[in-house]
Amino acid sequence: MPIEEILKEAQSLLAPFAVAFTQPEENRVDVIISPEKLVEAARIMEDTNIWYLSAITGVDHSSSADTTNEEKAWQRVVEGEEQTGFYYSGVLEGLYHFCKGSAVVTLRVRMGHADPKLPSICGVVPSASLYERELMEMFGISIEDTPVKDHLLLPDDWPDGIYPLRKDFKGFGQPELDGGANA
Amino acid sequence: MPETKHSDKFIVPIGPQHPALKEPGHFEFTVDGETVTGASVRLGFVHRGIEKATEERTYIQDLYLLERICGICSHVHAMAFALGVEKLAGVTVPERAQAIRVLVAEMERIHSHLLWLGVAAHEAGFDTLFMYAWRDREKVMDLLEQLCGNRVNYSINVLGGVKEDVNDTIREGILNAMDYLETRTDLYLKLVTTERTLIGRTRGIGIMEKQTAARLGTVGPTARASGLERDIRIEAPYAAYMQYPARIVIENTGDLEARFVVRVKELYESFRLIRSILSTLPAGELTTKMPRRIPEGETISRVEAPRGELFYYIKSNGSDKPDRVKVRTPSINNFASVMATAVGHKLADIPMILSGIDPCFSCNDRMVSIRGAEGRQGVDWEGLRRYGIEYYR
Repeated sequence: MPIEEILKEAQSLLAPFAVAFTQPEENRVDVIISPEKLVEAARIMEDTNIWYLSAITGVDHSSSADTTNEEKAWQRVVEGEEQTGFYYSGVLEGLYHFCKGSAVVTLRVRMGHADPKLPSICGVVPSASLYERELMEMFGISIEDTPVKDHLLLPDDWPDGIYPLRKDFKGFGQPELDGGANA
Repeated sequence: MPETKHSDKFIVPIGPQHPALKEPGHFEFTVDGETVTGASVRLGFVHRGIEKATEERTYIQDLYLLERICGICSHVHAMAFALGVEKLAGVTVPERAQAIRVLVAEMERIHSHLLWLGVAAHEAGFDTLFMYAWRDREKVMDLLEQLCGNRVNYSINVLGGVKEDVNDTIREGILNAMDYLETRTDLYLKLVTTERTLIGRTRGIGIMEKQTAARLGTVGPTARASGLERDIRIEAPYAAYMQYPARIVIENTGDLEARFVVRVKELYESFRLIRSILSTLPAGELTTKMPRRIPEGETISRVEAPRGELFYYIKSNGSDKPDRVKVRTPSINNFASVMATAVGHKLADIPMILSGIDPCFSCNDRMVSIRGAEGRQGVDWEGLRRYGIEYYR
């Protein structure tokens, strides 16, 4: 099946959940959805048995600095003002990449920085557990119903509330290599 | 005395100093007698924060950094990143460069599969095979050194092409080595399918059905050993795989033996691809001009690493530094399959099942945190540089 048709089929599957579609590259379709519809959308994809979850990427959009740019970016893809408002408020994003052959369908879920929350899709895609743990520790996205909430990559004694992949994390400062003798 | 019969689980911790692999990972296996009833994984012992670090470096610096994610499949990391950045920049890389990238990628696959064959044989207690496989692996390592200048972290990629060209001496050397390795591979294929002591540890062990493999999102040889047709070289050809198509290697039994057979048979496929590339290497330039600043955008770059699909998400913001680089390595997909297939097996089979997916911990874990006397210290770039200078003074 040619890639356009594969992507079209996925679009029609996801139409009930999507706020908007974009096609950034010829082998990719991005689907903007709201967090509450994520699980259902993931279920639809998984039930086809042809798409598989390849990765979940977290992105902190706050580096794009001035919010006006952000707003414009989202106006381009979301038609209608009331929806623009919703997306404008969010700066963290979870990208759920589903692949089939060279086609990639990305479910994009946006959240506010203040209280980012996502539902777990582990009930639908069990292998999402590791990615969800990564999202939680690296971006501080709270995923209430995920089966395992322990750190995956960060040390056990990593301080609470510090999320290294957020743009405002700048490290713990210069280490003292020689006990400060030659500092 | 009240009834104290409790259902506390007996947990066998394995690692971080791992018995099966010379890399750190921590596993907890819940056992009932000798039978495993549950498994969990804890990674991050070699996490180096590379994803974060890429955001503070230029694309050129990142190329070197990302190549060091893994010491075994370093080339595919650099290639995936370079392909992605080139796509964002809208640059077309010369055909010769793309062919050389594939050439090195296939040589890397040979070295990685032979390395794995050795490690897995060692886990099975078959050290003769381990030594044979590693001795033969040296052939490829030497060739890679001749071609790229380095045995590991070959660093042949630049953004926009490759650094090194293939000359006649190297071509001869590679072709001779392929002939030699092919006869050796005949032996390995015979060994992994007929040697009694090895089959005792592999046949019927760690079986993963095709459906399970698909549901768990396994990739690479692990998936292909369960009959799942997943190979990015074929599904979504990149670099020069369009000109030099790879053929998929599939086994249907889904046990450890199938994982041995798939990897050994993939060696033949690599020999074929390498010969084909060397006989019809397109002429032309090695590099093309790359802009320093990459236009705003985001892309996904997927390549077939020796262990399976390697996934890069790159977001650029118009500057000379990326906004976000996400690396999803094949091992993380395959870990889920270990956790699932381990259940029901004897504890003694676990090291084999674990090494069956050819896990790579460095790939999964990407920050260093040094636990000093005063607690944790993070190390930044400058600190690390000073530390290095001090250390070797």
